[in-house]
Amino acid sequence: MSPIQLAVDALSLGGQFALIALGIGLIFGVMRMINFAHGDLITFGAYALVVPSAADMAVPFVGAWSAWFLIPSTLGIVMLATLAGERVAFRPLRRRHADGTSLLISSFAVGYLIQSVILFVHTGRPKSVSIFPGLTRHLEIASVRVSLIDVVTILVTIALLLVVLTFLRFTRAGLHLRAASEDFSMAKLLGVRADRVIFVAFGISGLLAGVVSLLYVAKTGVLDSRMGVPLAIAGFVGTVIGGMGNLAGAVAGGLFLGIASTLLQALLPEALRPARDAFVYGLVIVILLVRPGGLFVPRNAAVRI
Amino acid sequence: MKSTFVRSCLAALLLAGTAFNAHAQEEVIVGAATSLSGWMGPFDKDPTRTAELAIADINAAGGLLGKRLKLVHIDTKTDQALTSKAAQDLVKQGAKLLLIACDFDSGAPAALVGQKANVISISSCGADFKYGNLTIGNNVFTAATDAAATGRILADWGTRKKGWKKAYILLDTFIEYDKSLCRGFKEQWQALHGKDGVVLEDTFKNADVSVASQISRYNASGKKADVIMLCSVPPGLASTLRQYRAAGIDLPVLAGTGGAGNALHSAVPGLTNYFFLNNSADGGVTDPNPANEEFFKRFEKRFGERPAVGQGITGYTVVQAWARAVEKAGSFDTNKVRAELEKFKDEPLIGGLTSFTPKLHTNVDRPMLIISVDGNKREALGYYDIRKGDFVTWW
Repeated sequence: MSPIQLAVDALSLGGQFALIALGIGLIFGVMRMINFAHGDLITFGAYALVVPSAADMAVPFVGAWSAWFLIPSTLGIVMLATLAGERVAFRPLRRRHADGTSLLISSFAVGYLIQSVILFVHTGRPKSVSIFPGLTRHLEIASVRVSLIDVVTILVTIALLLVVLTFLRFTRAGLHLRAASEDFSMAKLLGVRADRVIFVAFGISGLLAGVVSLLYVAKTGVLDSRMGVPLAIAGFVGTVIGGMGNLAGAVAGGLFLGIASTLLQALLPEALRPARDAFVYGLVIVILLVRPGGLFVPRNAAVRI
Repeated sequence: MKSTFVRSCLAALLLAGTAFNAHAQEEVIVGAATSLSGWMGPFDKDPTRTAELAIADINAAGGLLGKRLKLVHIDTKTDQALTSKAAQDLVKQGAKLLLIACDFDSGAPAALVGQKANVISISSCGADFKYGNLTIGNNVFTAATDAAATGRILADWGTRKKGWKKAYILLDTFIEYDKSLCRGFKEQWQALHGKDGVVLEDTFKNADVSVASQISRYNASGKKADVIMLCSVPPGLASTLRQYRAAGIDLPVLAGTGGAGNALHSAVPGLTNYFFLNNSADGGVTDPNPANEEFFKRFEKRFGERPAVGQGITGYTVVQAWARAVEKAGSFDTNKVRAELEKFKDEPLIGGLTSFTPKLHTNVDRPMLIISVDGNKREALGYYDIRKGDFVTWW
């Protein structure tokens, strides 16, 4: 198998996982909560592309618009849903100083609520919708055929990571967010407004979820009420192996998971291929045994986890 | 005065009760423990509706052995505990037949209840062999065509009618149906072309975002296949098709009953060179069997649409098969009805020729409708009979 092809395959999946892990990692940083609804928000964004209906045949709604409207609308819808989730399901708990377990359960509840509403409105039969049909082509790079959507996924991931990291590094809101991720209590004492910093974290997380919705549907063309669950798990594992609370670590963790998964799928002998995930998660366990705090452990990790 | 009033009330009640009982005696209950909600909902909905039509047809023709049939449906909501409870309720109400789910795992709890109570349970479109090989017991049947058998049919049709020689098998390891489908295909393909007939085999998981590795492996293998056998179900099936086509792999693709339905085909713009099989035509496709076409018209009149996919018809088959066996037995007695069902040999029913034996309660020889998709347009090619190696008509 050509190394170029393998690299494109691995980076495309790794990129998507990195975006998901960053979305989950951002919220963990400021709330110490794993937002398991993140995957279902991705599902929500995907379903926003079609007209809500119980009919088998999906009629494109947002998905029928030109890319100039389609992209901002989908991103906006997912961001709004994410922020609404924060306002309704998490902020009241936080105000009452609920512990982490309650917040975690609340995130599961939000996830199940989204899944159930989709199941109710769209039924359980998977649907399909084709967005950006221009991307369902292939390119020849050094006489190797690669799918255009994979190349686009990698480019979008790089661009988005640069934007988010620049925002975190060079803006005041980004500074507050990083400070809150490091030590939330101290940041508050130093004048960082908790509600605002959490609002920003959820907003960016929602934006990232929306981008994954679009990349996912552009690649697969399918909608399924349960499609976000394995994505959330991949993102969660990515943040854990990257080192919880470390944003660059979350990105690296997600990337690692996608690359490991693709390489194992490509290189395992046929008989072992169906057990690919056992190998991937076996590797995750080994990493955590060697580096219990993850690959990129922040200095104050012991206090945090 | 008061006691007279109470007495007359009691008498009236008693009378009403007797009348009700007399009425109930003339009705025979057919129970449906199927899901109208949850993820099984869309798969059970049409079989439940076609079963309702079958009962209406039988009643319109004077009933069964002089008795009216009554469908009692309890929504099992894709919940195994509810499924068992629904079956128990239906058995308690005296159901003589249970229509059960289009999936073994979902329907097995009801089948277990039916088996214990000595009531016949028939799955509509559950193609898992466990429904048909008496795993649960001798009262369990399925109106579906066995998954492995459909794989054999596809291999035979592709060889004899299309002249394909080299196959590339791509298996979604998520559910048993897919594994059986690919097993049957490979068995028949290698019987016809030898071991070298299968040039490459690969696997993926239904929920995988990407099948890029599988595509790269095929491209790198340098092996040229004539056809891809894709053993999967939506959403993974549609996602895989889209990614293979996007990678420029335009080979013919074969799929089983899970590949039916226009709803998934729109994942691939201008889907072409794609073939699947089913018990009858999907909504929007003309069925070569006039009896099915006529049935679909009546269905549309009653429900305002045609069954989305060709498996919907199997709910009708369930009731029709059982009713025919009851007629032949001249009794509703389970043992007698089962004996008659087990004598079915190419019984021409709506939903296809149906055969059972005392050891096999599923269909392995039934002709299946092959449907081709070209430029997103679907067309029925005909019912292919593996025993004849050709398209057949039996009507």
